[in-house]
Amino acid sequence: MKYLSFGDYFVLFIGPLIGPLLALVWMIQSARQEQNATKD
Amino acid sequence: MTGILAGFFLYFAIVLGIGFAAMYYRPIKSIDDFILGQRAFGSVVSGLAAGTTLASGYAFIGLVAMGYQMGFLALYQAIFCPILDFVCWRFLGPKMRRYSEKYNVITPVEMLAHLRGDPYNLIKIIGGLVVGVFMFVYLGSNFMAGGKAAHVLNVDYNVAVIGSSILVILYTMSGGATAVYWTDALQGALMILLCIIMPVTALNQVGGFSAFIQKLYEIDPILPSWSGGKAGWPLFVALWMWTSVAVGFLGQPQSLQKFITIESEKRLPAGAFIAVFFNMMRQYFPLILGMCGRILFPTLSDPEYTTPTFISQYFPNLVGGLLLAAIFAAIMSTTDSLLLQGTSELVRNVLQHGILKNKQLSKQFYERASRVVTLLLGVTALILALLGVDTVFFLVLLAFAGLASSIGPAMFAGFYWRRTTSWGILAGIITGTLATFIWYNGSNKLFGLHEGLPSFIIASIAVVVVSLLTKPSDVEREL
Repeated sequence: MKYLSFGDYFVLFIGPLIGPLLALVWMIQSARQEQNATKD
Repeated sequence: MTGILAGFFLYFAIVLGIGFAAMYYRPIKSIDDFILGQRAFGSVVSGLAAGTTLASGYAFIGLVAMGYQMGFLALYQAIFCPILDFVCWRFLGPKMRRYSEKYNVITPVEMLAHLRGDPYNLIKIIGGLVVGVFMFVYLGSNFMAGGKAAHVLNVDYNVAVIGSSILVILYTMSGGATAVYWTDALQGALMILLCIIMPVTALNQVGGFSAFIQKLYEIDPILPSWSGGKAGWPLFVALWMWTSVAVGFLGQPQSLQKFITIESEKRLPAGAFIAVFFNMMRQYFPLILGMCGRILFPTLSDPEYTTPTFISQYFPNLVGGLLLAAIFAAIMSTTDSLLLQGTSELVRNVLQHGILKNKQLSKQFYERASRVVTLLLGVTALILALLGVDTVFFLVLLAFAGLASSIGPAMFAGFYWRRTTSWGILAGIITGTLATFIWYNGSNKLFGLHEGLPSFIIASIAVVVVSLLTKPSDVEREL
């Protein structure tokens, strides 16, 4: 879109997702660790 | 209007019902039950309760107005706050949960006092009072926010303040943590509904995403811009402000409390995801709604009227009532946690482990004391709110930054730096509060910069310097 630069797209779409994505990664990591611990 | 009122009262009835159900299903027999709710909260309830606790009436009134006025520049709040909220869950959550269970420590201030010992009870009493006072002013200003929100909706200020605050006092007093968490979860769900329905409808009314950007650009080209048309120092000041506000997420006791009460450490990551995602949504979508409001209602006398104007224009029915109820949900879900936290810190630290430490008093005494303090705190804040005592509630402007600076640095240092001493922790609590006051009241906020980040940094330095200057603690707590 001609009105928006990369910076504009970043604050509108990418930036707000950083926090939730970090939390999602932690959740997946913990679930995997728990699964591995159960197997052991 | 009848439909809107019906939706509104339906919501109030459900909240009250949940509050009383909590009283019957999880009866309170001790102060531990009152504060911890038997630690029977899973990821969803804990995540939503943590998320809603930090989303006050400001979410759907003030944030919308900010989006209306600032455009994209306001979106930094929806970027920085969730990131620092995650940092808090990730790096304090597991340690606080483990510590709490191992040492039977049930509030954040009690934990600070226990980490390196508290020989003179100063951390408990001063920390408990700092949190208690901040919670109290926070509480009163939230009651006032409820009244102002209702006033915008043509409901009498006094009726709204009395109605919503008595409801909150009643269910918090009777059901303790269980009532607060359960109602918060419901209120969180309602807020999610509001977050989705309103911006989607607004974008639709504007004519879709492309039209949204184009119309914003036509009103003012700086609105759809990441820098808000600023450069150099003004841009730095703006970004500093958002970072400063976000730092507040690193030590709010009413939010840290959720790490202590969650069912088990294993529940934390999912709880974090729910809380952080909720945190992002409840900031991002109101900001987008505000920007749409700028296009749909360009001549509003006050941008804070955007949400009520939008609801009365596009949802003059039962759904509108529930959407309006969601604004009250935001206010009430914050208020109940403040009331519970203020009571918990005062009764547990200032009374039970402070002033009345050497008296042998029964479990029932503290259980009753919790209810009485809840009532006293709530009713006093209500009276001050009705009298409109702004001289007391101006403190709320400092509460968010003050609480984070007092509790956050001391808590992080206590868990991650072995050399931290009890004097260092006490210095962090006192300096965090004082630095916030001094910075805020300095000439036009020193250097024009928001007080949150500087006071957090100053408190961190105080913890380190005082710890290094004092004798290493003999108390070694293993986790």
